[in-house]
Amino acid sequence: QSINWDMQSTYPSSLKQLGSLGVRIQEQLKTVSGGQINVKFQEPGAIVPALEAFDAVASGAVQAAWSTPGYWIGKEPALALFAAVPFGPSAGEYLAWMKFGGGQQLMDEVYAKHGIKSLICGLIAPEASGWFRKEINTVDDLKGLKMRFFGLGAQVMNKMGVSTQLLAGGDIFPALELGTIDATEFSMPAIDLNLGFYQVAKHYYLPGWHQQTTLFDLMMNKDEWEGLSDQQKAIFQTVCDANVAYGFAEGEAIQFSALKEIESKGVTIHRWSPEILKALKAAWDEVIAEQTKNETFAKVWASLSEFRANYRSWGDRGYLRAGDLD
Amino acid sequence: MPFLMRVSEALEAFLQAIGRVASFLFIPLMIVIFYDVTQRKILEYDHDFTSSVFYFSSTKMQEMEWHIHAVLFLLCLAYAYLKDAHVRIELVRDQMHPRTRAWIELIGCLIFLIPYCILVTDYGYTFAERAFLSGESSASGVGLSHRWIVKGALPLGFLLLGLAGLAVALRSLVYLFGSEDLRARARSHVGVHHADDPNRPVAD
Amino acid sequence: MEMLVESLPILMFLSLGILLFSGYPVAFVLGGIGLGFAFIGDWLGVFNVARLMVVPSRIFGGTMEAPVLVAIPMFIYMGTMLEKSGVARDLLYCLQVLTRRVPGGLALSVTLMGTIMAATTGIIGASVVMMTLLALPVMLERGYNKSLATGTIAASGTLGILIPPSIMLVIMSDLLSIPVGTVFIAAIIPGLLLSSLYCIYIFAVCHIKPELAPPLPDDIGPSDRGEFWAMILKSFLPPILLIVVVLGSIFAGFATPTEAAGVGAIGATVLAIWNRKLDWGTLKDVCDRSALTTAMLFGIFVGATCFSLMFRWLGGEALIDEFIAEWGVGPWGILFVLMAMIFFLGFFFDWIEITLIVLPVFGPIVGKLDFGGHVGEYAAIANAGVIWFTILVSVNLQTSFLTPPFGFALFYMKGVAPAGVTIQHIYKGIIPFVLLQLTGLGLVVLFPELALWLPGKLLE
Ligand code: NA
Ligand code: NA
Repeated sequence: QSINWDMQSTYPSSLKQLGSLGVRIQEQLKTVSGGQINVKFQEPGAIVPALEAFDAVASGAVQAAWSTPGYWIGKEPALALFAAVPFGPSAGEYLAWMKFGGGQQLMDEVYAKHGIKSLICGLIAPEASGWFRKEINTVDDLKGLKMRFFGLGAQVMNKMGVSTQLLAGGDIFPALELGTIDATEFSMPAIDLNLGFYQVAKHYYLPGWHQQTTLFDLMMNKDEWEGLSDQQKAIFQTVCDANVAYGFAEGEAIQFSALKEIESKGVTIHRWSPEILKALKAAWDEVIAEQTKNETFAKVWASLSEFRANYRSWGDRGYLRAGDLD
Repeated sequence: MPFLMRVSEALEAFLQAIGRVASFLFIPLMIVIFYDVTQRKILEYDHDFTSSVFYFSSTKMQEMEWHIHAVLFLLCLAYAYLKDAHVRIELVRDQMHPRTRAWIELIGCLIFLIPYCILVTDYGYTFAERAFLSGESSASGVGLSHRWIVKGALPLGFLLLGLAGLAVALRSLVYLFGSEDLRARARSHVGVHHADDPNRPVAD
Repeated sequence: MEMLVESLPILMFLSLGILLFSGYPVAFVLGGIGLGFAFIGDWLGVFNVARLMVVPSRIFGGTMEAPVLVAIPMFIYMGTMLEKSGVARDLLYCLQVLTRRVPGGLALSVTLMGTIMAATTGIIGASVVMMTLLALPVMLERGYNKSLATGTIAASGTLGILIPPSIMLVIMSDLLSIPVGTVFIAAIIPGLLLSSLYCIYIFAVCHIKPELAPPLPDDIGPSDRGEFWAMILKSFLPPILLIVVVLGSIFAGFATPTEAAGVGAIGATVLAIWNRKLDWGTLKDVCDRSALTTAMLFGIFVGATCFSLMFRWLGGEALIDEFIAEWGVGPWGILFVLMAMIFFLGFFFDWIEITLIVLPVFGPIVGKLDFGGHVGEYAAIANAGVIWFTILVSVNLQTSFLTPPFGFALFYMKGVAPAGVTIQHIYKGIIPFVLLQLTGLGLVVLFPELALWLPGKLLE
């Protein structure tokens, strides 16, 4: 029994990782199933515009979509927590929660309300914190800045006095070039490099406190998923698990050369000072206090927080820390 | 036939009234943009101002802009058809007999316009309903809530457009089969668009 | 049966080509054909009509939730207000007086204004509609040849898609993963090249056939210096100042196109009040006209979205890809077939559909084509070949706005053109300009430096 699906992507295929990991799902599903599972990667806008993928899958008009749950906080604020959490867990801890700490079940519950089944199907290493036209030395330097920012991080930046704007991927460069915005975050160094932000903003900030790990998912219409045979479901699950490992490894492997190239373009790479990071963290705590008024969000946040609290007793002890040998 | 004509005219009067009112949305649209520009560029981050009731977040203002824009053009789709403002390619139409044009208008409404409007109204309703049921708000997390309102404008606009199609179809029927005096009342969509017909009753 | 299924996309082309000429509104023909083929596909068992549930999503995501597009109604309002309040007329009159010794002076002014607008927005609908409203009535009144007037406006109004900032360049860079900044710089010289070609053509043709663009008779115009300066002060400076402020603030990065257009709309209203030309009736009329124009413009979009969706779903994309792959021989062959294909598709689709169909598949291939040193080496530009290719596609795609039967610029213009301007005039008018575009395209093919020299210098 072969299947032919469309998979609406929220990223163009040409974008490193964000897009290429989606294309890889198409290829791997086909190869692993011996040509029986054909899930066609569709460029953003080909069937529906990127941010309409959720509705298209929910209604069943499109069988699947390649995206990140973080795009759908307008539909369901809690989904933000399955994508990237400011000051959130690193890859290992995040996956541990998803697979063994109840994360996947909670995500299933949330998506099921909308008729969607979703598999975590990609993961990338930390994002960078953004491109700034001017150097940021103190908390006050952030005030009054106009910045493109997305998701929960945007609310944090708002609290810092930054006026955040929502710009789609393609609109960012011209806005930054023209000075309509003073700064932008987008993704990780290897991806940012291709977008050429270095041509117009010469200060690049790390670490990406707002997105330490980003999860991507393969959303499927629930009825379509339930109509699959056990074997087919296993193929999807396996391909996705493999894609997570692949994306993580690839993401870790390609950043250092990208950073080197960014530096060679005359960009100064900065680290946030502890003072600024602390202020951001405090702003994030405020945001969380507001967000947890939403019942579903609170439930997921409680699960994640509890898991992280328990994890600390292992994470803090099991791993060598930077500076241990100093 | 006179009955059909009256139905068509009543429908048109109703749809045109909506269109005329919607056309004034240009004014709030201008004001919202102007207000946003002023507060961002001139009153920029003055603490007294930003903590007052006159301050609205830019993200919200900018979302309000496209909300107004969307409602404006959707509610005027039908109005534009009644005013015959939608573009036609008149290369061949110029040479046609007015009766042929009336037939084309009738058939066009019945097989192109009305079915398409039914489709978009029907699916658009589900689309807006989904937003209503899930309490959808802005994807930015800091924007406007109640997304179902602007999404609801989509099926509404197409419902009105479908009704405009119905009105024009009735008119075309009257033109084709009605009495002489009725035909004069029904000829709004059998003329050539801009050129050559200074007496088009609807044109201005 | 199978053959019928495979030829569905071609039948879609044919039906569109034929039914557009029925004279029924373009917007509804497009939507109707899309829906009709959905039913045919359903009947043949290759499609499920219920999948058209995505049409509202496409309309919502593509035209409603699109902050950039808000500039369109504002520019339309601004143009309509300047026109209805007589400000535009006075301004154009001044331009005629100022350029009375230059053959085709008014047309040259329009081209210049189109070029400046192009450098500030990339919104074709706004540029074409605004310039048609402002300039076309005056050009016709002056006795300009209808085809020359419409051709000039349509062609210079579409420069915005090529001259940066341009949403088209942004999307293409996105699809090909090349830095949009480099592409922006690379597009500047080809864009100005086209603009200059237009000017040379207008100047030459008006010089040879002055009857196409009659100069202002000597007895019209200010009679002495005092009157001249009064005219400049009253009718020339205020609107020019408004336009300079609006376009300049976008150019300088002070405001986004939407912000500038909104402020410009208010400015036009204020200018009308200042000239004592605005009363309640005029305001009502301006809103009414602007609303009809806006609805006309977005009407085409909401219809076209269903057509292009069905074309893709019925296998049109695969068909085109196969066609290009089969016919292209060698790097130059592939380039030629691609360019011919894009030009041909431009008759039926708008640029965004064409880029979505052609670029993802052929972008990577073009990157690997070897033109034997033709493109040259640029230390500062990675992927010089792909950048060059992108510019070629862009210049080519600009024609898609102009080529009949389906050309957005033609529709926009037709929608707001004064009585007496028929689609024939417009079709006839764009022919020389399309040929100029193809000349420009040929020049960039022959001399890749036109695209690559500037970024090579600036990015060093
Ligand atoms: Na432009
Ligand atoms: Na065309």
